[in-house]
Amino acid sequence: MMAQQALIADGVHKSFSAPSGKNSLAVLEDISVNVNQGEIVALVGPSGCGKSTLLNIAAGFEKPDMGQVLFMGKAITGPSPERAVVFQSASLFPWLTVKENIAFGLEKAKVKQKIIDEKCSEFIQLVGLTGFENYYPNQLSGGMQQRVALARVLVLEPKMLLMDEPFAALDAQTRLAMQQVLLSISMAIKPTILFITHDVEEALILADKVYVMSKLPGTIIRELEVPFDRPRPISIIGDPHFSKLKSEILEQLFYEPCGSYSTC
Amino acid sequence: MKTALKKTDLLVLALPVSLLAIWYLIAETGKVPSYLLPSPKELVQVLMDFAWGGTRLTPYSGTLVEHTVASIMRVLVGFSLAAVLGLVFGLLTGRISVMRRLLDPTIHLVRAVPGIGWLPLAMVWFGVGEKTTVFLIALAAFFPVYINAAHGFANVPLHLIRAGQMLGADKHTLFTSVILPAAFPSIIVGLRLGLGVSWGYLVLGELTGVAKGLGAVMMDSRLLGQTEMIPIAMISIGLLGKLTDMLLIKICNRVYPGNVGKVAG
Ligand SMILES: Nc1ncnc2c1ncn2[C@@H]1O[C@H](COP(=O)(O)OP(=O)(O)O)[C@@H](O)[C@H]1O
Ligand SMILES: [Mg+2]
Repeated sequence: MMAQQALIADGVHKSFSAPSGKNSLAVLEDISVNVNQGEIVALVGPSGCGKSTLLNIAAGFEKPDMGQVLFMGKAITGPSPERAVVFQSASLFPWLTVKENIAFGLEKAKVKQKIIDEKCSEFIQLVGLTGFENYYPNQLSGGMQQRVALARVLVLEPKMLLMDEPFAALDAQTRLAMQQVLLSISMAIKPTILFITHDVEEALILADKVYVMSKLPGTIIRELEVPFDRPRPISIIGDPHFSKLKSEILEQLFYEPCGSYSTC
Repeated sequence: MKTALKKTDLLVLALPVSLLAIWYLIAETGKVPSYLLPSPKELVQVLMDFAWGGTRLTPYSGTLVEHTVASIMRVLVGFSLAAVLGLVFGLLTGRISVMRRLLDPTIHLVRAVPGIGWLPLAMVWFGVGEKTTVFLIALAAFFPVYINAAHGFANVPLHLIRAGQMLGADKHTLFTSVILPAAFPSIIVGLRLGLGVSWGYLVLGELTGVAKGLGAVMMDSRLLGQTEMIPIAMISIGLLGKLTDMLLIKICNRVYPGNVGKVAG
């Protein structure tokens, strides 16, 4: 069976005018990526290479200068709950409780209160936050906040999840735990995900396919299928094949075409 | 825990109690004439008479309520005008860049004229008394409300707006469920400052000559030689200012959902 395409970016260019106004900064150059339905695709690249810019275009927050981005065969005209976003900072509404944050999208969709209540408790349980319904975001740890951010979009049953370095601000252990949370959720509901990260290991643990981006201006320098079976336990990090792939990609990320190593 | 609380309470009380004691002792010596510094005891009696009447210690016996009502009404009207206009203009210039460029510089130019400086012109326009007082209150309270509202509306974090959009909020619900609550803590600050300023300008307006009002009591009792009424009117205004501020906070905390941005008295 042919895989159904969900998100297609085709020859996307984007530049921003510099604060001074005159020169513009080319951020994305001829980016083409393809996310099939039910697939987790990771985009890795160094900080500042335009990953968020691409995600913002897919989310409908920004428009490409050139090229097109299609979702389910249609051009993207603006943000929509069918392409839900998980941001790097949890971006929860600080004046709403955990439950109210998760109910936000359902209320906007005019879902009946009884169903909202049911769904909220279902998804609060799914992300392991039972007992914290009435907490405010500033009373939660970073990892818990990110679980709420995940629950508030999953509850809308989006066709696709756009995740912009969602675990980057977490400590190493919480990050590994959240990756496992995401993996177990994805086993259960098979979401389509575009997952952005600067962490090669994270990309290899989570994704079916990885795109590697260059430094600014961002271009796709490699596309690879991740060969590991699911479920992928944390121990996969010790697998020699995993380490080899990881160092290969790191090598590519840090190796300049002119032949010198540099950091970003 | 309990003893710590007691200690701080005593510390808070130490200064006012000592001041009161010193005041009392000075007045008791009789060396300072009572028209310059009435004794606390005397003041309490006059205040009681002002509030409940009966003893006819001053011509103001039993008139506290009518003067207070007159003053509160002026503050209410003036401050309400300032609040509505300040919020509307703050929203316009805070969220719409064309409006900001069009209005904001001029508003700040007008603000540069001290509120008191409007008094003579206001008296020419509105005559002495009622309208002048309300105008001065509305004018002076507008600026703090406006500036804080504009700041709050302008600084709604982009990521919260985007979060609202991708969760399905349309233009209308984005305003009511994201922009307004996000700007609210800043709006409260403006309203509180504006209300405080309102009481100040109330006194200014009432000093120019109105029949009723706590500012009028202050000014007229000096002319009548009832100087003990001056501090009483001052204390009344101070208490009313504090009370209305507490009320405003109550209302705001009721309107504003959540536990952040909650303000304390
Ligand atoms: N709104 C904007 N205006 C101007 N420059 C921007 C804007 N957004 C991003 N940029 C620039 O684009 C580049 C890529 O940013 P971003 O997509 O956030 O990178 P990444 O997410 O990979 O770290 C950066 O150099 C950043 O300064
Ligand atoms: Mg980014």
